[in-house]
Amino acid sequence: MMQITRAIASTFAVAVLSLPSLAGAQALPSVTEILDRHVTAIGGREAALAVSSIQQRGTLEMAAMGISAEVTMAAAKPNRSSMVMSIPGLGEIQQGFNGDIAWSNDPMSGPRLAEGEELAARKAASNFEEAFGIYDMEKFTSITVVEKTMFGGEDAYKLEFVRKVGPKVLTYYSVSTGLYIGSQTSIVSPMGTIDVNAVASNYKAFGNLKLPTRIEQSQAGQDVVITMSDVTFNEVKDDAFAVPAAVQALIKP
Amino acid sequence: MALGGRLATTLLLGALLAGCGRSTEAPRVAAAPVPEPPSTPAIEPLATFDSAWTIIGRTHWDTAYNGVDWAALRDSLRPKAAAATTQRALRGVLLQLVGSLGQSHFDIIPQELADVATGDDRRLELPRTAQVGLTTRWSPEGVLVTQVLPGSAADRAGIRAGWLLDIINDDTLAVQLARLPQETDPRRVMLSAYRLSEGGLRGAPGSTLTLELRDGANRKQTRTLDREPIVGQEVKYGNLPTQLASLSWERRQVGDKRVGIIRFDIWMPVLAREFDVAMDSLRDSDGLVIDIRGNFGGVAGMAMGIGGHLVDSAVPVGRMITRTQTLKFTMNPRRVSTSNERVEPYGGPVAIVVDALSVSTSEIFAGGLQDLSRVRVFGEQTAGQALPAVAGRLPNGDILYHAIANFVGPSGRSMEGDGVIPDERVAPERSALLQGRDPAVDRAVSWAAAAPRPGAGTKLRVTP
Repeated sequence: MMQITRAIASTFAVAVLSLPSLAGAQALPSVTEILDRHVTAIGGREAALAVSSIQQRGTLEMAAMGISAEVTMAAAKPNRSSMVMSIPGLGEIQQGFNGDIAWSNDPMSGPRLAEGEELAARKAASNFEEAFGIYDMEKFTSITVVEKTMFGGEDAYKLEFVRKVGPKVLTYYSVSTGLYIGSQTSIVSPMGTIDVNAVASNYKAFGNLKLPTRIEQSQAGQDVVITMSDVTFNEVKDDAFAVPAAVQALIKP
Repeated sequence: MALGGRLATTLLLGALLAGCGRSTEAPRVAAAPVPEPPSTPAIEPLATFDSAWTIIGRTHWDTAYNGVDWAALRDSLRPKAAAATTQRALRGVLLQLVGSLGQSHFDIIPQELADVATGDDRRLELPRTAQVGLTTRWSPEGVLVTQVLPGSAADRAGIRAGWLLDIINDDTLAVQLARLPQETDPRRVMLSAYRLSEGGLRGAPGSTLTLELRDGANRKQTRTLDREPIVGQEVKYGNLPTQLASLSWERRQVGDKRVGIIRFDIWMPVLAREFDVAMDSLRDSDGLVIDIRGNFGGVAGMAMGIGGHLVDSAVPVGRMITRTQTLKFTMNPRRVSTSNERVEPYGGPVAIVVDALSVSTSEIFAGGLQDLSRVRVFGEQTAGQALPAVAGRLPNGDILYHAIANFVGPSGRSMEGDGVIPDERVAPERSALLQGRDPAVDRAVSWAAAAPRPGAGTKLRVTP
């Protein structure tokens, strides 16, 4: 097992030190090698860093309930994000993070601000470049290559990311393609800490980058499939991250 | 990590689960059976059976399946599924499968009922969209008319609350009820009687029915009425059938105190905004009464948002326990009005009125807030059918409605089984109804008007 014990420069202009180790008789690649290979596979670091904002549109299916929703997600440097999901019979679920405030608003629960541990975890996990596999190592206590294993029906390298704040994340990278193919983590939510598994597949080219267009996600025994059909780069306006009026009323001056 | 993966941080699926009474024992939300051509050929009977058996086997929160030998049950029923030649026969086997668990929220919803969308003209053909304006409950004296909708066909025909409904279109309710398996739990009798009377009362708009009733002096009264569309917003949520939702509110003066009353008949998000508006209008009331009698449940997550109007801190109204995870149903204190102004959650005394037809999310809501000592509950013991469920499609097109979790209140008590036991039991009394009174709501209103407003420092009774 390789463990990053301190930060040094990496190909991602972040600090990485990889200490090679053995898993069985076969040496594993380093963290840097695995992450570099992923970034190269999706189009290269230069292409990824040229993106300052991204918007993805698609659908979310929850077969166990027969729910099909339209989803629009946006993100922008350095750490802003938003999501709007429209579910027939329920209405619009909105969520966002503007760098300071994480919020949600939906017809069932009303407007809400994330606070405490939830907000801290959200801040820690909101880093724009992570969408492309580029990590700011300063935000992690350690990143470790755990093992070579099977994930999503293929050989994969399993990496453990331990953030300085928030739950750890296990991520999987395809041995054959180098691409990120999934993760296992937990989220801090009002409903408690929930384990979430995700499998990413169907990479397609959008501009100079390849992105997964199918995410199969399971949490609390329920499965959802997110299918992305439309991706645009560098066109997201600031108002995509505007805090709705109902949420603004919650913000104390 | 892909951007799509960020949904992981945002989507709380537990909140989207259904919590409405659709058990094989409870009355269907639709109340009346859908016409089912007996000769429709069975579609993929074995694949359908195997799918249902596997899904429940994988998702039931109790690996002992409530004492049922799940593998043996498959072995005994699978040949019957294989032999089923019609959809009706196949559904019979599937109902045996889900019914064997003896728990609520296991049911088979026929495709022809589940797939009728809002606005679809076919919905008008369903025999459940019209009634004559009567609400009934079983009582020791018989099927009691507890409410007559003002302006309805029944109202115009002079039928009044407190009358007894004996016969619907030549079907004597007492005879039909006597034919059902004997129940020792009066809540089950209440549910069966409701199913019988509601099944008879509902029909297609414009269809005619003849009722035989007894008035306040026990004189026989006969009325022939045309069914009229039931008032309510149509809502289609996932694979659940299209349903009707309605909410009303009023303010009642009791001496120098004002008490707000909110009634709603299903936990569907289309009513959430209406509830918010009602709360804005009633925020200055001295007391509040929430009447959820006859509310069969709906989307479980709504209990968190509605409950948030009544609490000043983010505390759970209960916990959903799946096989692998426990999710807290944390209420969101509602500090914003519908006009986006800062407000405080309602802090006055709150009464909730329930009965044996308050099911599922209604029980989660009432029982949870009762556990927290935030509300006082009036009425009758609830159904005890409160399990979070999902509704997935089977290969034959039908919907498998199945619970995936147990639900316990803040005190740790399960809502399934005993349900919610009111702090003050108040049954519908015929004599009171005949005088135009509603004993349970009247008692709740009196209490809410007289109860002291909880102090600002009053803490909810939260059990870790």
